[in-house]
Amino acid sequence: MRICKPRQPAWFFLTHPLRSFRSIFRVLFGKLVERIQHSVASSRRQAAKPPSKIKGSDASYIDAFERARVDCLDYVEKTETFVNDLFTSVILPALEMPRSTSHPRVLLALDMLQQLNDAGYKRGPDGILTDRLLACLASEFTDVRQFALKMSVGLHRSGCSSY
Amino acid sequence: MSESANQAGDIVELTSSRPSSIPLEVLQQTLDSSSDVQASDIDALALVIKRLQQLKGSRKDVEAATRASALLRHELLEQPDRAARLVVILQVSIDSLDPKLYHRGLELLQVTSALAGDRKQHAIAVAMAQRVLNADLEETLRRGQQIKRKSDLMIIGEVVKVAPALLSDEIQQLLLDNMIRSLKQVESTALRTKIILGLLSCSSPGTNDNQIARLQPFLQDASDPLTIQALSRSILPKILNLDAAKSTLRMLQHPRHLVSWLAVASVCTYKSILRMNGLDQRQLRLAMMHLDDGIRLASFETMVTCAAISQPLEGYDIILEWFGSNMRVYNGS
Repeated sequence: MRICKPRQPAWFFLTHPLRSFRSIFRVLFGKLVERIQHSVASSRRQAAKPPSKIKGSDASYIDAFERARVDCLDYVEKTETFVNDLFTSVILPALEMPRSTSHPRVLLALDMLQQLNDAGYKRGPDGILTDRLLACLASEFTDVRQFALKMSVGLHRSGCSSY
Repeated sequence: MSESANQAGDIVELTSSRPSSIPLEVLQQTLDSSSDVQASDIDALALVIKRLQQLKGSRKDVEAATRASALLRHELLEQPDRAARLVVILQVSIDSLDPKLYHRGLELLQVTSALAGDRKQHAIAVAMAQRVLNADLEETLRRGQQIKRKSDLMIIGEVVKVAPALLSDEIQQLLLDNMIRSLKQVESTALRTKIILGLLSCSSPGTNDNQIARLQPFLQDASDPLTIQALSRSILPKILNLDAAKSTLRMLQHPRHLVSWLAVASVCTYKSILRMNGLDQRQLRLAMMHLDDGIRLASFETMVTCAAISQPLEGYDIILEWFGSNMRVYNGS
């Protein structure tokens, strides 16, 4: 009979350096969001740019220009998929079951949600997210409840009326 | 001898209970009588020297302290197995020397370093550097331009590190020339790197690139993981080019060197020397899944950081994998 649960590779259960881990992670995730935001904006600008009139008759230039434009659009699409994946496969599952064992993970997920929200990556009215936020509002931890309340108010103000 | 030993014992007791109560004459007498110094007297002598220093005495006191230092040196040579304690005592004696006796201090230092090894030597070099700083810095440094011994190099290195702002550009340039020429005398790679780092950290921005170019061969020799860790992120980007980065990363393939590998990989992605797909994915995954929080965060930083913020970010799959491995939902089963 196994007395102890098997050791998890996840770090949420290691209580020791969590505070600093969270603060560093917040900064790094902020960097990631900022990078995504800037690079997507730059790619959109690049894709919307018309070809040069002077080199317009050059076939090789037009080819290269078209290829670059397609690359930019691909990148924008890939990034949107990535952000969606972040929502669906990272943030939403992490908000599941806001109990004592998942407390730090929930805080991180709420933090990520807020940063993405601030950067303009909003998750539309979604039953799952609403359920998860409601579960967080009923959490046993004050900080999780406060964070979830703040998030809900923020999402409501930003136009997602279902929150 | 027994009389002097008793006196020394009394001094120890007196100094520990009421340090300022010992008259100068008693101290002088103790020093005069302890011509045949024994192990038990050394502590007492050290205290005497310290007391003399506190008194900020006249030339006579300095002479007495020098005499005591000579005795200590003799004792040190006789009993090399007690080097560690004696080194501490010698620090006191070096501190009590007049700045004019700089060379005498160096001599003592050399004797000590022969017995004490690098760490203790370093401690003394720091003490000496501070001592020298209180004295005539420019003069000392000019004297230090003629670097003859390893100990000289260490002391000058410490002085340069302790007081970078006090150095004029001219002196710094001269020192650098001499130090680079003398670096070959230092056999220990770690020690050499330490001196170089001291130099690099205090160098002015104008001369930095030139200095780094000249010091680069020494740093390339020292590409062991410890050195890489010692090189801060501000220095590493300056000395790292594509070839150096590739060879260093190849050299740090062992899981034991993961932290160093990450440091170099992080600089490479930051400088856009290497793209993230060009990094060794096995090492990266090891870092992503590591038990240590810091290493996991560093691996995330490596993926996220890049010099130009508007450049397309690559490696979304790996970033998602990082989240997947770090934010796994624990369902309790």
